[in-house]
Amino acid sequence: MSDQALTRNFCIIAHVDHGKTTLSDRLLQATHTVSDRKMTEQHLDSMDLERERGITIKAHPVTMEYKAKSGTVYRLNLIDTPGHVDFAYEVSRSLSACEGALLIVDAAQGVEAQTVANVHLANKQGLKLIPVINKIDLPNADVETVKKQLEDVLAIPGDEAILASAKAGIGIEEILEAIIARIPPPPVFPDDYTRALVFDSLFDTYRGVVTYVRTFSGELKTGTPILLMGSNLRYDIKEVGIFTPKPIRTESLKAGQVGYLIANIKTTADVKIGETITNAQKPAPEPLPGFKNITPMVFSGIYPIDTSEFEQLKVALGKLQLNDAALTYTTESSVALGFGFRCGFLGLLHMEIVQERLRREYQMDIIATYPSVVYEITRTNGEVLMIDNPTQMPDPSVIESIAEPMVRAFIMVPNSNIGDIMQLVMEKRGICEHTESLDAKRVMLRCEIPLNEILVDFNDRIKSITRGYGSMDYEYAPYRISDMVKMDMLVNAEPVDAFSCIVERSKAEGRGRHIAAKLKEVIQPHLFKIAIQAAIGGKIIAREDVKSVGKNVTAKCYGGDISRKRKLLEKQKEGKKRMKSIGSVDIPQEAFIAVLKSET
Amino acid sequence: MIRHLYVHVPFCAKVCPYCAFHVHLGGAAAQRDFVAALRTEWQRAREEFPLALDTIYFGGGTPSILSAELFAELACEIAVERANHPPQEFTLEVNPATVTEEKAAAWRAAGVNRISLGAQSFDAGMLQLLGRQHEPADIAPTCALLRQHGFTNINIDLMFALPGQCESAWEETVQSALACRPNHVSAYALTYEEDTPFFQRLQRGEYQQDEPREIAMFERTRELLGAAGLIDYEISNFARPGFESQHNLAYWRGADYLGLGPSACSTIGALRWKNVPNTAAYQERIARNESVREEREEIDAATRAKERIMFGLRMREGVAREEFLTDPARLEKLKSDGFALEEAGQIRLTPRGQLVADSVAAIFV
Repeated sequence: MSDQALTRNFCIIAHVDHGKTTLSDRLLQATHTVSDRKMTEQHLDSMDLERERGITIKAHPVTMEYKAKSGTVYRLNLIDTPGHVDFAYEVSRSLSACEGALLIVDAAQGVEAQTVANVHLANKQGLKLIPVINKIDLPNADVETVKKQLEDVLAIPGDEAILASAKAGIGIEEILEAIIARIPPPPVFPDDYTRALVFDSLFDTYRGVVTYVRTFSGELKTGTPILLMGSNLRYDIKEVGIFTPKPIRTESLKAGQVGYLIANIKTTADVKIGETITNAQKPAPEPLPGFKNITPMVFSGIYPIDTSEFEQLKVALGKLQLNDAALTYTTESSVALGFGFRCGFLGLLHMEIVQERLRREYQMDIIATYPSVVYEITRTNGEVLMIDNPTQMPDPSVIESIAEPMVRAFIMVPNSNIGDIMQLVMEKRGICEHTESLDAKRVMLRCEIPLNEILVDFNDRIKSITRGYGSMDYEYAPYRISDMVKMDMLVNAEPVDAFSCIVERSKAEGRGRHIAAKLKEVIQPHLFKIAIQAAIGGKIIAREDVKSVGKNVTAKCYGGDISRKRKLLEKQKEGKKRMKSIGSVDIPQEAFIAVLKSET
Repeated sequence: MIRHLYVHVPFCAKVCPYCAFHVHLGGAAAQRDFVAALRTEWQRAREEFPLALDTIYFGGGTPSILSAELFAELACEIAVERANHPPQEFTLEVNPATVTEEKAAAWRAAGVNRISLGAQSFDAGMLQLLGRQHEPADIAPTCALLRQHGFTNINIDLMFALPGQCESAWEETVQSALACRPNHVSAYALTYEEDTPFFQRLQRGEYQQDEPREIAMFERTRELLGAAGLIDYEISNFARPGFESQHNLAYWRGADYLGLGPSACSTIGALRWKNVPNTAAYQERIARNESVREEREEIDAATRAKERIMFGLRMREGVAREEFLTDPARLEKLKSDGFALEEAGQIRLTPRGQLVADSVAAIFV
């Protein structure tokens, strides 16, 4: 048999905690890729943050050799995929490097929102799915219900499901045999042009950019001049190899194989995910389909709390970007917060991860401003603007319409919570498109919701309403025209730029009240009364007042008190220097943190 | 030339729970040792500085606790100076429970011409709360006794905004004080000083502060004393014209002053220091012929200017307009907002400004 006929490329898709990592580990053990002794829990997830959250951010391929029951030895390439929809494009590229996928469903939990979103993606790529019902040894496992859910919700025949317990080692061999039997081998191309798909890359301090590739046709060899067909950049291959899971240098990566490539590539931004690599001397006539430039969906300002740490923050963001080409940042400044960066993220999780890594790995003390989505503004003269920052908003008189990004959300909840969840969706300006019973206890809602409404607390609210039993995932949907307005916060009639936001008109008052109340808590009384107002254009929609100082006078001031008194006043004045003075009102930095962090 | 002398006497019969001054108990022997040390410090200072004392102020503690004999000894020591330059004002802080015929006579003989009486309240419950040794009924007889010995210039110290004190009780205290016909009243809002039992009780929530009530008392004090002819020449001090405390005015106007005794503060030229705030350490150092001065601080011209504004704004006479040259815009704002006013080139606080004098001063430090 040809090499290609003996190769299977697959990935694993699953909801968080359904056992993807444990199953991956079992497969590595069963194929003797990793010895039992060396086996540590969660072998493929390397970042602490990934382990903590039970998610995979970076995809790590691994090549296994499996001697099937028939006696034939197969090469199985497992391509791990990021499990979260923020990384939907990366997921789609990883999936397109495979011919099939294991779909893991927890025998007790059943099909979850994320399962649905990932199956949609896999179907789009035309992958052969092997359903695996995992954790069948749990006392509350309900295999029959899960099988029915597979059929009803995902249109996958229930009897195709393999029953397994990755933890107990049940069904592992059956899974390996199914991979060989059910997933097709890599297709053979009719020509011999070289085509390889980039599905991820990683920056290594010593070796530069390590590119993860799947060869579809031709081969990649050390010394071969290559061309990146999207960016038109040229390099010479320095090394190719496979992961076992340690990287092992090989002579070449032939058609159907999965491995890595090292060339003289400087940053991961130069080798975009989805890019096609071909032989520069004999380039393929067409690249592989599906490449696109990914653009950030969510933006937030990131500022150092200590303004002198701006340079350190810049360095930290630069380092993060080496391994995370999807992160964008540009310098911005705010009257209130000083110098910082406007950062673009693929989605909410991506944003949280970047902020968390800045704090943990780079020990940066940062303020992240309230996140914003990208609005599409059509001016009266027909010009279209994309803006992600309220300060860029044109005057309302020249705006024809504003459209906002939408998501299609899949929300799975216990039947008893459906009323509350529907109400939450309505509160978030969403529309329920479809409701479907999953089993006797759960329903799935499919809703269209503005992305900006789910930016902050949507998932938390679902979890709290359903006491943790609900789950939510989403995919991006087309923009929709909405009645968006720019709301400003005024302190004694002076606008404070950091508190401005773009908000749907009906939501403006509530948001304005909330911010005004927060500010009232943190602004100290001054000699005069302070009015905190929320305004749309010239119209005031919410107001709070900070009362003036009532009494502040020392009773006794004699010879021994003079220095003490003066130092006390000097200290107060020193504290004021660290505040932002806006319209003669001193606003403490805590105010910015309190308002920008908190919502609802 | 140094014209103002402060002497700190650290002894008290009992330490009050709101007091943060350096004070402690001390019997006859302790008093003797202390007076000996103080005389030595005085002799040293006389050689070090040119002195022409206009005012002398004995504070504490309870300087009236000193025996007649020891007080006479101290006063005689300082009298060498007075012989060629008699001070206009020689104040002694006196506790109502400590006055005897013998002591009053000795004070008079030593040249004391102003008595500051630590009455604090005319309400028995409040005096108990404050940990004072005297009863309300002791105060008027003490004043009478002092007058018999020729003391006509009497100040009465009072405290308001005390825990549980209602406005009418404060009003009664003010009226009782006025009945003693003082030339001067100091009315202090209670300050919760750190490291005092009162502060701890406030922290624990046993005492509550009530700002509107304090404001009402502060304003009522001005009305009552003003009606009796006592003018608020400083935030907490009221006097019949001509009976203002010259010694305290000197502090507020930024004059040089010398302080003797443990914890006493001095400001001379560009230097300020504080004596070691421990009587035993103070006496040991004197005995070893070492300096008792600590916490030395350089007071440059700019700092002195700041202090003149801080303290000057607290006085009716105010601060010369020229002192605000560095920040005229803020001054104009204060005037237009009704916190300050200008009269004959002097800037002073309005009644509204007096209530927030610290916030106003903070603008200029």
